[in-house]
Amino acid sequence: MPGGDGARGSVELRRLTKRFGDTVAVEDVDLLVRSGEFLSILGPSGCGKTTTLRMISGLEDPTEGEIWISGEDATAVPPHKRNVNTVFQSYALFPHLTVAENVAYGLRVKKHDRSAIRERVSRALDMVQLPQLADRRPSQLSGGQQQRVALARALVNEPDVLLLDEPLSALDLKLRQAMRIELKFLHERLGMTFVFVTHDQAEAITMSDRVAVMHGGRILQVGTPEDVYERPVSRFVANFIGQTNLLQGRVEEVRETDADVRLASGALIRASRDEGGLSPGSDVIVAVRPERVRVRAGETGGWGADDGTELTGTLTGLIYLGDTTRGTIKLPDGTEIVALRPNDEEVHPFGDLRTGTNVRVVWPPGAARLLTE
Amino acid sequence: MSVVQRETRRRVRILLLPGTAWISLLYVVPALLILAYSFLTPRIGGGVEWDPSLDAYRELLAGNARASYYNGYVTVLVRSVVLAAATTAICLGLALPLAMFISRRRSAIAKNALLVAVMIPFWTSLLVRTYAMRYLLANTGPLNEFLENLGYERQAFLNTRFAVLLGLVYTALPFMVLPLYASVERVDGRLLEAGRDLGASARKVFLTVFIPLIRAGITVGCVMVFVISVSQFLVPTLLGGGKVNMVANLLEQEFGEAFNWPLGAAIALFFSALTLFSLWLVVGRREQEEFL
Repeated sequence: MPGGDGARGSVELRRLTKRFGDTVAVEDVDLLVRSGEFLSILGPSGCGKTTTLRMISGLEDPTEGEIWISGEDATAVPPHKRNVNTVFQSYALFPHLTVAENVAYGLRVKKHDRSAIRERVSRALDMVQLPQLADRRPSQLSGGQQQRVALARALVNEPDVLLLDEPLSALDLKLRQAMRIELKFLHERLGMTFVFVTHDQAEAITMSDRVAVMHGGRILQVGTPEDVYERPVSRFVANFIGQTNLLQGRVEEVRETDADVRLASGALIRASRDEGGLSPGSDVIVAVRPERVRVRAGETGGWGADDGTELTGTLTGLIYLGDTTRGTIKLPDGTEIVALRPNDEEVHPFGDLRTGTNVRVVWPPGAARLLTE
Repeated sequence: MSVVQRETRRRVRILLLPGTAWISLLYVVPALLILAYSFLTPRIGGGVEWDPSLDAYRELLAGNARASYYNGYVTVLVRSVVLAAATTAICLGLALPLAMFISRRRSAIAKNALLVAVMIPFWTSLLVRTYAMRYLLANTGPLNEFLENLGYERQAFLNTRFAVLLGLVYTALPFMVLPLYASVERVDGRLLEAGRDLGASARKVFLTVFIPLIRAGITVGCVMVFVISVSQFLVPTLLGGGKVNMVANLLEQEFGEAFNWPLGAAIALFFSALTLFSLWLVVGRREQEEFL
């Protein structure tokens, strides 16, 4: 039976589990990475994402489950016989070899002939824009340069799948942002499958075709960046990817695509929902992204109580963040709601509102999502 | 050169002074004396006459008809080098797996316990340990008794090259284990994984990544073991019984029995030159930074 979609570069994990003694690092993970896809595994440290990646590379043996690579069962295949290469978080460049020798290592151990190796190494170094450093030792390079060498060393082997283990985490912010774009560009040019492990949600969202959110050894949600950001399936996903206002409540009435929820503060709001069993009386969480929240003083009209998208409270804080301004509103029951408005016009996004004034908090219909856990 | 650099240099010079004085007094001066002695005439009963002569070198290079087969200068020199080289190779073969084994222990207690075990022999005099080996290998010793109980004939272990080699390896082994362990301990396991990931089998990673990474330790260990073994006196004396003499025995004979100090000095110089040359071959040409 073929695994994945069977194509070269596809990866399929089936009920993959890894235990270290009593601790479960990865639990029952099912994941299909399509051929040529840029898939990010996103999660906090210790969530099992690196262990998952190491099992794909073969550096870690799964306790249970199967790994299929390019349509073949690779579960028992040793790492050096898998056509996948890894860019390690620490780069792991060989200190006793020059940059060119580092890049040539994979081709040399596979006994390619010398002229072909030289040709491919120089092409790989060109690709990462480091041809002038070929004869240096890794210790003579900056972090960003080492990172590029590590990338070239993996890419030169033309693997079916490139695994990237937080390769940007050691770089400073500017370099990291530049490398994101460069990596994305490389991926588009090479058409290779990239599996990218990161704890940085911005990285995952800006680079990936799809994101797999992992927590506690399990995959919670797999979807496009838009899916996981706009339609998170759980409280953890909503909270881990971007900021979110989470409101506790109880379901009053369930309809086809939304439900009415009575919040702890007594307000009734409407929240959209996916299909699935939900009955009146069950405890739920309503999630609203801060950038969708507007703050109004006094006036009515627009969205509001009729749509079930209005709450009232007191403006307790305004913080200028450069590109945005962040407002904090305290509801009567003490819950805080954050509103984030872009500073895109000369007028202040919160008008002349002062902290301490009573305000209405509103959002467009559909911006509130219902979460069950 | 900046003021700071000049000041640093001055301080370094002052700090180096005691060590330099010590080495000059106890090593350089005697070495120069030996050099001078080798060009003088022997005095009967020991010492030298201040009468320039090249006899010592003539005798050294001509070989020596007087000396028995066991003590021919060339034979002894070659034997010393071969035995020391064999000792180095055997120690390397034994110590590397041991160093890796110790380094892989998870608990620090286990590591330290094993390292202490490696060093325990240092706590006893080499003389006592070598006599103990004599007893073990003797014709009526435990090893032969064991063989006899198994139904084999007794073997003459003592006073053979085997016994000397065994003694040399036993004596020098810790000097190989410790530098190797220090190097192995510093190896970044992620580099070995990177090798596997790039398509190298475990064996290939061992040869192309692991060994180069511990090369400094291998070099230091080999140099120490070779130098210690090649100049051994007790082991060839007690376990070789005069039949497997090494350079130190030759020197002892010339200085202590034949009272030909110039010849002894010439042998010592010749051998030092040989050792320094081999060291230069192994270490001298490498960049210094690797050993820092």
